[in-house]
Amino acid sequence: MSLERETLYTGLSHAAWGYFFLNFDVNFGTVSVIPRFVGFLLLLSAIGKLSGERRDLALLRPLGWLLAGWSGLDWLLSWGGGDVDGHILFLDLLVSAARLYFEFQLLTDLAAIAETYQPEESDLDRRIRRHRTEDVVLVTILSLLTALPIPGEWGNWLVLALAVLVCVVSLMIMWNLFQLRRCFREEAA
Amino acid sequence: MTDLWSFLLQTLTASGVAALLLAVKAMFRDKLSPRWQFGIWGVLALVLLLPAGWGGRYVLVNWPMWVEALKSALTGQFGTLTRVIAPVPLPRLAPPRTAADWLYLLYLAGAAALLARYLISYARLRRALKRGRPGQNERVRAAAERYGLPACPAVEVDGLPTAFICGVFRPVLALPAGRETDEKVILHELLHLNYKDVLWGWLIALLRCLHWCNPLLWLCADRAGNDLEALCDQRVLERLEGEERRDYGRILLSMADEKYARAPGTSSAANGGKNIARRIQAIARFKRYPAGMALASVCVALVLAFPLVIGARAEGVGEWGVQNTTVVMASARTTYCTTYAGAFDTYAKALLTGDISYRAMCAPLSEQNELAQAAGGYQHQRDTRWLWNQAGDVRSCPCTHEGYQIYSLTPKGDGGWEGLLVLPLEYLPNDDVEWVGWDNAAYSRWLAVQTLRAEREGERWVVIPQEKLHAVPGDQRNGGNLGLPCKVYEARYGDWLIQGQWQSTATVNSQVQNANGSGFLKNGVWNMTSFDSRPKPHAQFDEGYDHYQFWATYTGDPDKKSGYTSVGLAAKPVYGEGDGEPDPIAPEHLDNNSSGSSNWGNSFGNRVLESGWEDTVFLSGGGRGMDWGADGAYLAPAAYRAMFYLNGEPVAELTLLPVEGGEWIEP
Repeated sequence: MSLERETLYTGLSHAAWGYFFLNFDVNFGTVSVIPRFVGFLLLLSAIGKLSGERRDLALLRPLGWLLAGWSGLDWLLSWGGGDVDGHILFLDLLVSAARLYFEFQLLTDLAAIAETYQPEESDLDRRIRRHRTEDVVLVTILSLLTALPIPGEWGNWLVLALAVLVCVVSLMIMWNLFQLRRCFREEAA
Repeated sequence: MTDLWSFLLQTLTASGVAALLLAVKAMFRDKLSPRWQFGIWGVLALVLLLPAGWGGRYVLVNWPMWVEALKSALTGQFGTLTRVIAPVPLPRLAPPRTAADWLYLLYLAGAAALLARYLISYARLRRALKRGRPGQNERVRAAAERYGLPACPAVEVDGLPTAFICGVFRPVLALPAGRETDEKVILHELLHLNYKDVLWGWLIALLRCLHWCNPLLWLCADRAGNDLEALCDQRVLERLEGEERRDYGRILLSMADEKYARAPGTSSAANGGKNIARRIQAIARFKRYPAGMALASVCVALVLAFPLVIGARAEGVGEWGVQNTTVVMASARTTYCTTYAGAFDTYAKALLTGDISYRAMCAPLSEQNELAQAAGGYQHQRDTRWLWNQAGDVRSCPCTHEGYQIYSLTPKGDGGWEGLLVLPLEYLPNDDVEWVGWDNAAYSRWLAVQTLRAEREGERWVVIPQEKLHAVPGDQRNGGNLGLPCKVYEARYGDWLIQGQWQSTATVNSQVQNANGSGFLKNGVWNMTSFDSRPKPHAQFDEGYDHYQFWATYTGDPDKKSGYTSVGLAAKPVYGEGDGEPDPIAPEHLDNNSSGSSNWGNSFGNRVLESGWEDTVFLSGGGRGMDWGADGAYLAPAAYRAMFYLNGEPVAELTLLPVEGGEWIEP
């Protein structure tokens, strides 16, 4: 594998695992063993490795650092049983908006990379874009339900169903990114 | 806005949103399109046009509480609540008396003066345009046709630095006299005309007048105006190609040094050198935003708009351990009860915990000064003595962990609700610290009871005790509680008096799960629950029971008693006209002692009368958990329809009608 392809391969690995850290959680007491800030750091690393291929990716760096910092603070506070959510609504909203855009644009750029490198018969780019759209819509609905909760058990079930869907979509995104990564390994071989 | 405090609440609420939008826009400056950059100001416009603090909600920061705290700190008064009735200033009819009144008058004068200035400058402009001469109409029409846009009359006016559209209903395109205006500038103005941008200009000017003394909102108004121009540039560029786009940039550059004085009700391509520079930077970044970006823009806008427009409901600061009485009382006043159930719950928890701020949440405003004084007299706002002494002379403690029940909840014709608050007591009511053993046996438990009335005071639900708290002997049960009020129904058949009684209880579910451990590796105990004594001012009653029982009393000649071998009753509650007849007692139940009841409140009972039977014969009874979410579930039946049986035969269809008063007894 050439150095450039090796870099792209690693960048996509980081992006895929970044998504895993972002959307899945296993807690040890109150402390997450799959901390979200690691996910953002992996995505920042991916941006660094892929931005040569897609210049727009570099624009996401400031947002990535903001999100990594915020979730890192949350993780640190969790050691004392605390968290950052709900205390400063101003920052909560700022971070929510930043995250929505960050993930959307990142996947848009990754789809563009797929469009360039995928085999002719493949539709990886369209699949990534579709899952990107599903992800942003689901996360938005979840946010709206937080602001305007549906009363009763029905509301709780809806939130649970949406959260499960977000996890499924995240898995699909990871799967597609690993598929895209394979393009580089196979071409190199 | 009717006073200085309501203006302060409105303008501070908008300022929080303005600060957030400025931060978000800075974050997305080079990432989201000019359409989004301008459109997101709509959120601020909505916040400015909605009365702040509506429905007991706040946006970003609990401004209602802080404004109340400031007001109380400056005036020493706790008995008023700042409310924004309308987002525009309403004049006061009373003459100003306080410094706040004079300041509000100053604010009104400022708003009126600025509005007058805008209107006068607009009128002058219209007059100047009337003096202009028609010109370049052919070029305007040609540009409109080329780009598929509407046209309007054009006039040339001497001394104009640049073109602009003036007016909403009879718009005019004003052009500098003596030189030919570039087609791209005409296109820019026609796009303003097409999208009715002048209307936005008027709205911005109006909001400037309303918040003339708020520099942050003036900054936002400037930014919104500039974003409107940048959006128009974007629309122009979407219609131009290649070299024409660069020409357009050059035209803007040429305007950078031009003087501009935008009047309300106009739109102009020139908006000052600094802003032109920003617009040229935006043009350099110009791209047709990729497909799908519109979706992301809408999602980001929604994620911001919902919490900013809807806001959040306040939680009392009593929970944060704040000790400052002024802040705590301000918090209590602004965290008011929005439902009658919430008001009953808050009052009950005030008595259970002794937290004066809880009482303030559901007390009429006329009582707030007294409550503030009492709260200030204690180191902490919690002290059972004061509230308990105010409420009555029961010298005992309530069982906090057992919660409370509201008995006989009844809607009143005037929109209010009445109910009997029941709190189980820890000790004997005379303060004799002797633990009272209790069980389900009759009168084994002392209860503190008080009739309460919940009624509306503006947006707040408040509780007004109808009597002093007093102790009665009751029992441990949630319903069918001896000695407590119930509704009694009666009907007569010959020598028989048939009676029924119905009792209801309601409460807001306040059980919370305790976790003595957490995490999958720890040996957590998850099923422990306890009573959460924090008020739920927005709650609905979600737990309720009703209990009923029927009996028949023989009132005739004792010698004729031997003629009866059995007595039975099948009864069905009547809530409305459509309710039918009770199901008959099945034949197999008519020759033995049997009874039953259903979830719908139907019941039947049959008793075999053995020699020497008592005059009063218990027939049937039952109880059920009620669906308190259902409309009208709390209402007592209007009557009971019943089939009366003697000696195993149906002898009469009866209607048991309610009689005044009643106390739950067990025959």
